[in-house]
Amino acid sequence: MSDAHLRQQMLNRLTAVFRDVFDEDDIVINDETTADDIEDWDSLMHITLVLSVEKEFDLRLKAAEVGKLANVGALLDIMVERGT
Amino acid sequence: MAGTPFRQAVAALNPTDDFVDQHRHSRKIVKNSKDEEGLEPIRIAILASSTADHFVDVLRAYLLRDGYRPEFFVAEFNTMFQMALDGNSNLYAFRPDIVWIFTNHRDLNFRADTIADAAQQETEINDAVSQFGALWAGLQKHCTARIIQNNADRPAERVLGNYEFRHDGSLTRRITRFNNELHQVAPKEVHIFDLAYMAELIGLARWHDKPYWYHSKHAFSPDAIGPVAHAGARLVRGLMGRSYKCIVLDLDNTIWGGVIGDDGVGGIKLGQGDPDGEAFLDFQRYVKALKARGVIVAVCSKNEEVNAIEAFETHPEMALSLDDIAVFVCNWINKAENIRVIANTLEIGLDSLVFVDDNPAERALVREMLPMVAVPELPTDPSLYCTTLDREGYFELASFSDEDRNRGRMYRDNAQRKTLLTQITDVDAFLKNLDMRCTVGRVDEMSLPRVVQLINKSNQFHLTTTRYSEQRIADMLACPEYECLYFKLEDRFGDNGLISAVILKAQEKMTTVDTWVMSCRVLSRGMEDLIHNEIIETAQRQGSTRIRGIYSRTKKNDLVAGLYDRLGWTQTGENDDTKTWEIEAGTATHRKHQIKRKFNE
Repeated sequence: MSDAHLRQQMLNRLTAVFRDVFDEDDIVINDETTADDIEDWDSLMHITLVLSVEKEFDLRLKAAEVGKLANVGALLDIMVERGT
Repeated sequence: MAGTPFRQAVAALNPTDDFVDQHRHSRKIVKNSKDEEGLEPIRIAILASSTADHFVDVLRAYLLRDGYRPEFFVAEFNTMFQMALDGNSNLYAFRPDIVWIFTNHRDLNFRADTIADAAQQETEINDAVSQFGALWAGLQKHCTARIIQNNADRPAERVLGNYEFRHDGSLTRRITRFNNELHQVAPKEVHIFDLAYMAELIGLARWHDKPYWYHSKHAFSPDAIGPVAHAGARLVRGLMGRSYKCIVLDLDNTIWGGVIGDDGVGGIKLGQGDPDGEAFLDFQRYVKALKARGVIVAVCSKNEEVNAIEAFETHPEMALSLDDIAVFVCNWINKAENIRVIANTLEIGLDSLVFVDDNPAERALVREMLPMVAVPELPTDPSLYCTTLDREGYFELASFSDEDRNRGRMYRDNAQRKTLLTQITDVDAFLKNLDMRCTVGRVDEMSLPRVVQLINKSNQFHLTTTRYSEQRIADMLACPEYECLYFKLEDRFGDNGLISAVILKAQEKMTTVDTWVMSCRVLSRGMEDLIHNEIIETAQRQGSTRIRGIYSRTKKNDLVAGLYDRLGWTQTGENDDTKTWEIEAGTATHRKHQIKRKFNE
């Protein structure tokens, strides 16, 4: 599987997580999506989001990584790197 | 499932789910709670030195479950002392009913970088206790809210290894000693939330989630929020004087294994030597301890009272005695009605009763007809009864005194002075809702072993107590005079299996009900009526004009002594222990029931 393909697959799964966490069925995300683009994405929801991502992708983020997730692309980078 | 969307969302809540599921269920509950009526407003202030917001979101759902509509005030991070000591703070402007000082071991400020000497131990523990003392004093000066104070969890790390607990200077020992001190000095207005217990219950390895402390200051794993919120909501209920007061117990397969009416005192499982027997005994001991702390114990069982009483009086391993039971109700009336009677007799509200029954259909009936009664979802394995009941936290208390010890006796004495009243409640709707489907068939090779077992093992619902070998019934099947029918019953809780059998013998235009046996588990659900109809139709097919029913009295079948009378048959004879009834096969009326019938050709 190509890297681009893998990344797209992860983006799809991640989209489902976003829709579930923010309870909004039509959320669309891409690499550039940030907290400013999604109304309810505040620091508390960020933690809920991280927990949901950890559960869906069966991985643990490092403590320092959690605060540095500037956009969806940064999150995908970590997931691709971990290969889940 | 029945119930409003709110009730359905509440039913999906499970304390042991991880945070992601808690979050999802909580959101649904809050969303559906807007129009829910009868929820009591409550104002709760949380003073925390950790991030409490995710916890509060879930706690809100558990309080909604328990009948409250909470409003929260979450003090900003690390402001608890300013808030509590300043009478003009936002905390007091909020006018809380409850202030929860939501601390953890880090709030004790114990040095983790040393093994403390005696002087330091003393100073640290004193300082920690007195800082909380100052908080309580401030709160009590400026408001009348009830105060909840967390005790301290212990870290998962042990610098001294297995020696950790033997040395007073270790961090773990200092924390434990702090907890002991805290429990002793807290005034009665301050209620301890046992965070240390929660940590042990969940397991320290899972309780502590360090990344979540370092990146967002969560005091414990977000996945532990469910159990803590559940236990917290139940404590709140207790402090507000709404704890459950009475446990209503079923008997068969709830406090002993087996069916007393069929198996007899010697046949039930209770006590040493059998895994289930030991589990039932431990469950009885647990209930007895509840009784010792003031919970009222009542019995509500479908049984002949004399059989049930005999078990209490003569079984050598019974932990519960008749003396422990405030109200003892054994009959064949539906349990919702009996539970009403129990509440009336004890003069307590239905919303202070917990009903414990292994039978999912009985639980469903009570949940639907008396939604205010707590009905724990009992697992099928009796090994887990104690844990399940204990984990619910129904019986939280604000204080415990000698009076509590005697409460059971007081209620029992009062109950004995009152006569039991029976109220009629319409159960047709419930029965319809059970979605019962009965398959009727002629006994064949497949069904024969179970029919033989039913005929030879049943004692209570067995009109003639005939005992037949497999060969004997096989012979009847081959004989045109006989019709042997079996009945299977399914409902929305699952398959009850083959629960009844009838043997009909036709001779000279008279069909005699030679044998009629049925499992008591499905009693009073309309099966008697369905089988009555089946007997009439079979007799007509056999070319009979009359049908005869016989009841032969034994020590154990009082239950069906009046069955044919209830079904509208006419008594025609009586001698010694045998009575007979008859009806016309051609004109007998069919009886109404709520069961879908299918004949298996």
